[in-house]
Parts: sequence; structure tokens; C-alpha cells
Amino acid sequence: MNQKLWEIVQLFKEKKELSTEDWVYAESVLEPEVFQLLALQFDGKMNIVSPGWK
Amino acid sequence: MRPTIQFIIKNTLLTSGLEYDIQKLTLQLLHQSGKIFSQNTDDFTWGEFSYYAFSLLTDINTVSHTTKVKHAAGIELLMLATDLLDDVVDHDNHLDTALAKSQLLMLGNLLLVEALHLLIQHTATSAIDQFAIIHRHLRNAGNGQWLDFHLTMEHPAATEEQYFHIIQQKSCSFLQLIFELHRSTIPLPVLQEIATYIGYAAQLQNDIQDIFSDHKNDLLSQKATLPLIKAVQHSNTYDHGWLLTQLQLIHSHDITAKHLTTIRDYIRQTGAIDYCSILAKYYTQKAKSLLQHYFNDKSPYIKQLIHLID
Repeated sequence: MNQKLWEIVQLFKEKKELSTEDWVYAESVLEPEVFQLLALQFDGKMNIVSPGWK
Repeated sequence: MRPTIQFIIKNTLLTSGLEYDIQKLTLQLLHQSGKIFSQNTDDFTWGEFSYYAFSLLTDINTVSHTTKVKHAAGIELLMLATDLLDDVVDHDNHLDTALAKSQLLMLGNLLLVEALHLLIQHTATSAIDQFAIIHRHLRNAGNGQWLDFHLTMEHPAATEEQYFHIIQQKSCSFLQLIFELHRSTIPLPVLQEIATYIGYAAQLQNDIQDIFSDHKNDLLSQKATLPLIKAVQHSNTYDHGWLLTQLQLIHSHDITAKHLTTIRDYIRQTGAIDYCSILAKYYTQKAKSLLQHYFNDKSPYIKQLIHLID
């Protein structure tokens, strides 16, 4: 569960805007209760692309 | 419930035979945030949590109200003692009162002894049995603290699995102690599972807060907490290990507030804080579900306990 969640969080963080497809994908790989918590955490947040301090 | 536990603690200190300055300092420390005399009544306190857990697990005919309050007071003192000893280990100073390391050590040891006295003295079961439970969990917590001290982000870098293994010992042991102190009809593995989920959630919340606290040294000492483990993992994958390099620079340069802010902003943007926040809420929900499933007697204590862990 943890690894899947981390992958989804990383995916969401890479995108400026989340599409319906992103949410559908997240819902398909996460447990329903984890998906709900993810939705609460990311709801209304502006996501920034990987910070690029390279 | 707080006033009753406060009364027992005051009374215990007054009759303890401890030096007046020790009693005064202990009460002063117990007025801090998250402690039983805190002005903020919304704070989680170990004393209240223990009382509600004892009440949920036991019948009033087998364990009296007075015993439960005295044991709750014992847990409150025990957690203060371990906090003081942790502060010495972590070089933290989030106390309102400036205390020397030697004072923290002495006070921590004294309060540990007073806590044990309260926990063993008022028990229906054999004091030896009671002590065996306390000893087992405190030893586990001590082992966890030892491993935690030696786990850093330096080579070899800590892993998520190691983090959970250690907090199972160092944090969940205290909760297991509370859940096992009084005999209950609920199966022990269920109680252990509830304790584990609450312990995971609480430790994750603490570790998230400590990354952003100027009073804690987690970041400066590269303490291998999950937010940092995951942020470093992200950094190694996407940014050529920028974060670890910056953390290592902290030791060779003067730390400026701006530099720390940059590091904290970076950690936030890696997704590590989001990840840990979701996990903390997930484990809280797991604990709540088990509590509601196994204690479906509409006990008022369930509501109080859930309110405290939420």
C-alpha cells in the first residue's frame, strides 16, 4: 500500500494540474480509504512541478 | 477528567518526599503544551488518554475509578520522564524553562521511579505481574530509542521499513503498555494492533511537525524520520541528491534561517509531507475502526478516546 501511495503522490506532484485520468488511475491502484485521504490531501492544492534544484 | 488527574499528581508530589524544587519544577513542566496542566484543554494528554483507555477496557467492578486515575497519573509522569530523557538524547530544548543536561537526566530518572510507584502500587493483580508488563514495554521502548539514535540519513541511508520497525518499538510500546496494564476481554493481538496504529499515526504527526520546528533538531541532525527519508528518496531520484548535499553542508557552514527555509520548502515540494500526512490519517482511521468494531457498547469512553487521537 505504502509504495503505491508514494508513487501516486510523486505522480501528482509532477503535474501542474491534475486531470480526470490522473484521478481515475489513482482510484484504480489505491485502496478506497487511501484514495479518499489522497483526495482530501490534494483537493484545491496547486501542485508544483518537481522543484528542479539540480 | 483533567482536574482529577491533576489533583492526584499534585498530591503524589506533595507526599513523595521529593525536594521542594523538584516538585515545583515537575509541576512547571506539566503546564507545557500537551501536558496535563496545559491551559489548552484541546491538547492530547497521556494522562487523559490512559484514563479513557483503562475505562474502556475494564469493568468498574474490577478496577476502581481511583485506581484508574492513579494509573493515568503514573502514565503522565512516565511520559514526562521519557520526554526529558529524549530531549537530552536529541539535544532538543523545547522547554520553557532552561535546564542543564544533568538536571534533565536527574529529573527524568526521579520521575520514572515515581511513575513506577504509582503504576504498581494501586493494582488488583500481582505487583510482580504488573511490573513484568511495564518492564517488557519500557525495555522495548528503550531498544527502539537506541536504534533510532543510530539511524541517520548518512550511509547507509535509512529505509521506510527500518523507520516503521523502530517506531513499533520506541512509540507503540508505550501504547501497548497502556492497553495491557489492565486485563481485558478483548484479545491481546487486537489491542496490540490498535496500539500500533495509534503509535504510527502519532509518531508520523510528530515527525512532520518537527521538520518545521525551530525548537527541534531533527533536520540539523539528519534524523531519519519518514518525511526526511522520503524527501531524500525523491531528491536522489530527481535532483541528483540535492537535499542530502544541503543537509551535509549544514555541518560545515553557519546555518542561516533562509537556508533552512529553502530546505523545508524543498521537503514540502517533494511530496514527502503529503505522503506522511495521508499515512497518519490512514492509521488513525484504522485505529478508530477497530475501536468502534470491538467496543460497540456505545461507551462514552470511545467518543473521548477517538476525540483524543483524531
